[in-house]
Amino acid sequence: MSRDKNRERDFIKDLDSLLAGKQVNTEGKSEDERTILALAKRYTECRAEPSAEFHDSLKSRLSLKLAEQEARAQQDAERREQRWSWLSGFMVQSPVRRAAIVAAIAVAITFGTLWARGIFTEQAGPIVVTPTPEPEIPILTVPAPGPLTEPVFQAVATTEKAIYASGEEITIEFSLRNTGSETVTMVAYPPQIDIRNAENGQTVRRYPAGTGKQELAPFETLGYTLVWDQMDSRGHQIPPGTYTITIDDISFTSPTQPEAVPAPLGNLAEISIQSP
Amino acid sequence: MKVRGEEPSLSQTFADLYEEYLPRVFRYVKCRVNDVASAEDLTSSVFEKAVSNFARYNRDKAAFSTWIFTIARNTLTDYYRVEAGKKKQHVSLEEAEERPANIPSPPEELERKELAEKLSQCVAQLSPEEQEIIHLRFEAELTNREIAKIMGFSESNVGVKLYRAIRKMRDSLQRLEYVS
Repeated sequence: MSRDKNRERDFIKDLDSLLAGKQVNTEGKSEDERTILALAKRYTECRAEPSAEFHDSLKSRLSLKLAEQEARAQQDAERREQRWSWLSGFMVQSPVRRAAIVAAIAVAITFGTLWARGIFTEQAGPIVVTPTPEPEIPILTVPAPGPLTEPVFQAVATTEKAIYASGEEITIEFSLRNTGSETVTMVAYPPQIDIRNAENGQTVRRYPAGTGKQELAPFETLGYTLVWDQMDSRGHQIPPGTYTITIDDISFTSPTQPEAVPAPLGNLAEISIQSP
Repeated sequence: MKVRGEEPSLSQTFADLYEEYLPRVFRYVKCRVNDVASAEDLTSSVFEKAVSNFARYNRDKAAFSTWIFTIARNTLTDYYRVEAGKKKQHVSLEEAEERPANIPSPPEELERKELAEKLSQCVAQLSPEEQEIIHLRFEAELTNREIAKIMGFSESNVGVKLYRAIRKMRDSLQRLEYVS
């Protein structure tokens, strides 16, 4: 098997030599191999060659064709180059033109935006921007009990934002305003503040009412700040959800109301706690 | 003058390839059609196709030899398709190289023609596949590896087929010479 392979390899090598016009040494080869190589040699000697006339005429024809192709390719390349140079000359080479174009585009964009918002026309343009609704802050007014006929307190609770990440500190600004015509005295200041789960109404954190008294003249406003760490009454992080900030009532006295009476209020603000 | 590192032009590259491959393509085509005029026409056609597509030829994908002989084979296939209806008379190598009648051939030339005729008959007795291998090896001077690529065989398979084909030719030639 390997002998056959060697013989085949030698034959290919000898054939390469023959085709390259070299002499092949047939010494040591079998009769069979010698006769085969002899035939190959004779075959190579009988090969036809193209005439010089044909060689030259085809060459000149092909050269002409190739030259035409190259000329066309060159023209195409030049055309592309010209197009590009015109564009780059207009855009890149002149800084003044470049700045003018950029400025014109900026003006167009600004004008378009303003037009879309309806600045130049009474009717709104095609682009309608809806402002994000801010958290509703209910303003509760408390009617004075007994002989008082007008509301006594206006209570407002505000937070920096409506949605907080879980664990984030929440600063709540309370504003209490005496809307009555006489001075009132809050008998347990600050009032009790409850934070409740908006879904089930369960109180998660209660800040009990203070023991101090606080006078509030007519139309006077009093501010109070509370920082809630999102912990419930047992010191655990409350789960994400919606919560209300509530002052159920404020007990007060006044010259016309010497006995302390509660002025009911209610939910002052709503906040959402989201997963971090 | 060629500057170092400068790529030769398309024309120059093709001119070099033309010098190397024209004889090989011509010989290959001629032994397939057995007629000088047809061989010249077909060879012209092969090279014109090559020129038209030369800009798209990618040397990383295939050797030029593989590329040009694939064109040559396809051109011959088209030729045979057109010629299929015509009854072709066998034309020997000798007839194909016929000289004008008024120029006498020297004795060695006559002897060469006679041998060429006999070899042509020997090749004709081979199978079409063997004939193709003989033509690609001897006329086109392709290596076994290049033939393998063009014909879709393994390189060693081409070697075996080639060896057997030449042996058959030898036997045929010996019979012819014995008869003569």
